[in-house]
Amino acid sequence: MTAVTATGVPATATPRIPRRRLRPVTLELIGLAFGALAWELVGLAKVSRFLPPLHGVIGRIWDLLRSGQLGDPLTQSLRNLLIGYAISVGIGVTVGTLMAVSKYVDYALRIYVNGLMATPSILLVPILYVIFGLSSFTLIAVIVLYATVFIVANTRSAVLGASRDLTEMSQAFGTQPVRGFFEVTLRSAGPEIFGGLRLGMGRAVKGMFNGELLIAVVGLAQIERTYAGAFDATGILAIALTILIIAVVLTTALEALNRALNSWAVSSSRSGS
Amino acid sequence: MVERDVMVQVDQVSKSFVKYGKRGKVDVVPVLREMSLDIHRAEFVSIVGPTGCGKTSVLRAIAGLLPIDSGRIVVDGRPVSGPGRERAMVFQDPTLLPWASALDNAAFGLKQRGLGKRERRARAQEALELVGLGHRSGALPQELSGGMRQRVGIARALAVDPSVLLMDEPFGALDEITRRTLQDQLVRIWEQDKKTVIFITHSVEEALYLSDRIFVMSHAGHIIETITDLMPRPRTREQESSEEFVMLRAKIWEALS
Amino acid sequence: MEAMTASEASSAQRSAPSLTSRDERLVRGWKRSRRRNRIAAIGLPLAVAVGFISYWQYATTHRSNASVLIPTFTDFVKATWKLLGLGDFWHAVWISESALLTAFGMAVAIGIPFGIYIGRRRTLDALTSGYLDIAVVTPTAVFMPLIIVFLGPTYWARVTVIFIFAFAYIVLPCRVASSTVSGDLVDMAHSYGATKTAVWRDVIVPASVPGIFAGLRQGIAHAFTGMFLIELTFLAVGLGYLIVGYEEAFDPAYVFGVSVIIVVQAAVCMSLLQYVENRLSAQWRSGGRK
Repeated sequence: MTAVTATGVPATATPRIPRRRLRPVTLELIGLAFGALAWELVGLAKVSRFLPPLHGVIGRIWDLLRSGQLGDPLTQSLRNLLIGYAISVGIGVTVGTLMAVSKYVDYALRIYVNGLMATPSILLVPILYVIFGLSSFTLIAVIVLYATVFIVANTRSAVLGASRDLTEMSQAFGTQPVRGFFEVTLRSAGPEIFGGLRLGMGRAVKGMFNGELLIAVVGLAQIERTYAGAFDATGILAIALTILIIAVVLTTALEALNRALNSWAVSSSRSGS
Repeated sequence: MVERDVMVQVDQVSKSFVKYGKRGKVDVVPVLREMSLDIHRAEFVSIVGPTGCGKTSVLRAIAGLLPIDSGRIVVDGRPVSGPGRERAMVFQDPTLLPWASALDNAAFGLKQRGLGKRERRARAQEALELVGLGHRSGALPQELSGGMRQRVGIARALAVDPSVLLMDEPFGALDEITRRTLQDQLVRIWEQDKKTVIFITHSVEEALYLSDRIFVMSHAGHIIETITDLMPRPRTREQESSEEFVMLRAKIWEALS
Repeated sequence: MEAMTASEASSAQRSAPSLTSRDERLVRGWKRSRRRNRIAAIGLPLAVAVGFISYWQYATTHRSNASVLIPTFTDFVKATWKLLGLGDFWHAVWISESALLTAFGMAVAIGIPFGIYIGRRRTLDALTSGYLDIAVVTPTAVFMPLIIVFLGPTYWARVTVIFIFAFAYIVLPCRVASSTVSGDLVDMAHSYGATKTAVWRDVIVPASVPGIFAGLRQGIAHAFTGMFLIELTFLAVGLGYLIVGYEEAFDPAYVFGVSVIIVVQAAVCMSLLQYVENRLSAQWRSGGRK
């Protein structure tokens, strides 16, 4: 790569101006834009009738929204999602904290939490179906099943890993144990707990869709199934894209909340994903 | 030596940890063995010793953070059973709350004592100014250098106006230049209000520069030598090459080896 | 000064025997707490399991108006036992899991090298990271119907679905692992004259092994998910067909049975992977010491 300049002197002899590097976020967006463009072009080239161009899919989402066809199933799905997620967060943060604080709670529950984390949640959905029947209870239960253990596990490790030094420091300055727990320990565990909440949100969206698809055939999954029956690829992709947008918007919103609440640790909490 | 009243008394204190040793045998590892020392009011003492000799354990025991197996620790006439108001600790890692400003960090101890917001902020600001950080009171710990962070840690301890200041290798992680600046600052502050200071360090030079007396600790978990009659104050850095200083240093090294 | 040394000496004499008795007390207390912990570590989870099963059995046998569908625990155990001796069940397992194995093998063969490679290429890594992030937060199932529409209700449709379920989860940990290999380590290797290939072979790939195993574990879990989902929704064959059949025949004990057997099977797979990983890393650690 030693380029030779017009004067015949190797370019390395002059001070090299470092090439400006694009920021990773920019590259990520370029990558996505490139994918979208490729999709559009392949669609326009009519490679297959099952691969419609991107603008057609976006147009379909717009049509569905305008005609109100998307409204009801979407609210249905989102309602279940939010209820299920709220329950998961409530149970997850409480149980995770208890496990971190009490050795005995930890002994009692750890193998079950690990087991549930390791096994694919979907395998237990038929059991939930038997228990709750054909109702939105089942859908919410599936969401809770999908999301809770991840929030439990992250909260547990967050509170356990919360800086011991800080806890000892606050002890040395005479902080009341309960107050110190909330103001110092839990606070310093905040960013990692949020990591669990974000993971849980992704899981909850999956639980929502898989549950709908598998059990009740309601909500967004119902529309997608109808399209699948009609071999309507544009429709299928429209629903897929809608769910993708929901998932990305919700996790991004959580991340924004995390940034607002735990701005002191954002650089460290961004590292994993 | 002039008789002065005893501020901190460590009397026959022992502490051991139990752990698995080789081949599943249970080992008792003593960290402090029948350790005794007296520290007078307004005295600056250092405890020096090799890593792992238990010098931090003594300090944590005095702070009330480490329960002891036997013996007795008395501070200002009252036996120690836990952390108390008359003692404040400066940690090796400054352990600042990462989400709180320098001011709020310096006010942490005051807040635990139930002081109102305005008063604790005023006193924390005063403490920050004492360590030369009055102008950075709004900064978060991550925006401060290592030396500045440690100064906030010192301000936090000074703000609660303790009678005994416990310092656990506070300058151990700093570079030599910052370390010297902070040493000078510490001496200046100490000469202003003459608190009792117990200072843990592994640097013989640091101990000699700062202290009235030096306790040398051995691996066996007790004091093997007490060095008194150190150089008169005020001290200067030039003294570090004086014959007296070199002699004292040699004496400590001899005790340590 | 003299008085102090004298008192020190006398106290040392006095305390010499008490020192050992204090040590004994310490050891006794320590052993007691270890014992208590060990009992709690086994007893408490067991108590939770027994409590859960008792409640299950009690609630299903003494129900007044609750759903009749939930089988009793004993019915469930009987059904599971029967299933294990049933040829049809094992046939269904074969149908389902042959596709699983093919797809998982492909995902591993492509995903691991791909993940390790992009982890070391900043630009490529950033370009692809958007897709991997999306793959993690969105349900892969949304693309299932499209694959069915493409490939029809075939074996390869199932393989493709399982593949896309597992792929991102294999790539991600590998990518994280190789991207966190320290630059100093690579520089060190170069400084000893290691060629580019040698750096990959001797530094980057071995350092990424924990990531590879994490990828295998997560990948197999998601492969099971894909397998189950497709069979229960668009392509009723194998285990999915079996479950749907039992549901329609109102045989809930068998639904429980099939689900739980597969759960156990998935758990065994992952424990095996964990075991192999632990063995490998233990071997390396001891090898490093010798």
